[in-house]
Amino acid sequence: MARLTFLLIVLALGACSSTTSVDEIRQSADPLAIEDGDTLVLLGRHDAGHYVTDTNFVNCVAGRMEGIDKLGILEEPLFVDELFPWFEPRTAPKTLKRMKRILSEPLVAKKIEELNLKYLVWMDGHTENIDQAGSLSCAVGVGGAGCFGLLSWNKLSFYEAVVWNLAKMKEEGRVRVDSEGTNYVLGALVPIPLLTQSKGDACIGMGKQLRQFFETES
Amino acid sequence: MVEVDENRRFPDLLVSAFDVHATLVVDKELENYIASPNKKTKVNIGPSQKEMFEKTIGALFSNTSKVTDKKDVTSDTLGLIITPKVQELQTAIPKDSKLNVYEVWIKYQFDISDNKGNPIADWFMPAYGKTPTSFLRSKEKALELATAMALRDAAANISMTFHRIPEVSRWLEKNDINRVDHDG
Repeated sequence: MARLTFLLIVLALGACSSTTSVDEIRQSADPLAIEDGDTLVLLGRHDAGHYVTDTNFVNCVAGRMEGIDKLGILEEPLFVDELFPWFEPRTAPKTLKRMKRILSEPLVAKKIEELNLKYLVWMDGHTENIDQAGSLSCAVGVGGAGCFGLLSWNKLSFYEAVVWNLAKMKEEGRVRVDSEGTNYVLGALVPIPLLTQSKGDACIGMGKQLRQFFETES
Repeated sequence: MVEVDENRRFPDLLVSAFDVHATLVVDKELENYIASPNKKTKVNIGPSQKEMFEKTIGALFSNTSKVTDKKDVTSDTLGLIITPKVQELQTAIPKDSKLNVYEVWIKYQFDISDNKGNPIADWFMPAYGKTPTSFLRSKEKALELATAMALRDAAANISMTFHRIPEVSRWLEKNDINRVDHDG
């Protein structure tokens, strides 16, 4: 029994990894221009019908963008509140044409200038669980308690980032990250979760790729 | 009971104001409104929506005042009286909708008249908020967040479309009322 459990754990751990692919379109291979004090903000899209771009994911990528020379990163909630109500799900610009229209509002233009905002990165996507299989049951009896079985499901993360340059009013590029991995919960008396980090991997992939828009690859 | 967190700060609006006086009517019903979208759920939006209306109308017009009854408006100079009312509040949770989001819809009705009490428009406005499911987040907390999002959406909708209501647009044009830029 112990050997079988050990074998199952080794097999599950081996399979418990995620596959991540990153695709990118850029207008230029050169790093984007940054002047001292320029800022960037990453905003999640919230206008899709059946999901909301995860704030934690946006924060995770924003964290990975920290430390780029001369470029400040603005926090999403702070930015959205400062520009309220222009970046709400109902009002947020979906195109650069609309962004230009919003910037023609004197109060908005003044605020963007105060914040030194040069780059705006839109993040759209989510993580979902699919293909659940197997079963796990737990029971409590006079002699003790235990869980038996094997439950598995796939975790699929897909996110796209679009980089807008507000000084030039142009799109500088896009990054798409897809990450998929299988999660397991193994019932061997106690439930043993073996979880993949597909969202975490997507964040790492996205952050790394976006940084390359602003930094020379070393 | 779902109650919008009173510590949740409602932001100031960055919009140009119309150069006219507006009176906001906040009656007891609006201020203490508790919706019962179903047998198991109660949503208290009264104090939060009062703050939302005060900030939104305050930003949209250069001069504003507040009364609890439309009859209390004594001025007969040029101005608008805006009386909002909640028509309905609905919620949807992932268990029922099969989506990974908690949703809140609020339907408002606005009675808009001039300072002399002459009706200008009767306007219905929807507001919507949603928040994703999250590990360890309770149903109440998720609905609270979705309600707060719906109130932000209401403010966005009012500030972007109020002047586009055909009757209001005509009234503003007829009285030569334009927007003035100020810093809020």
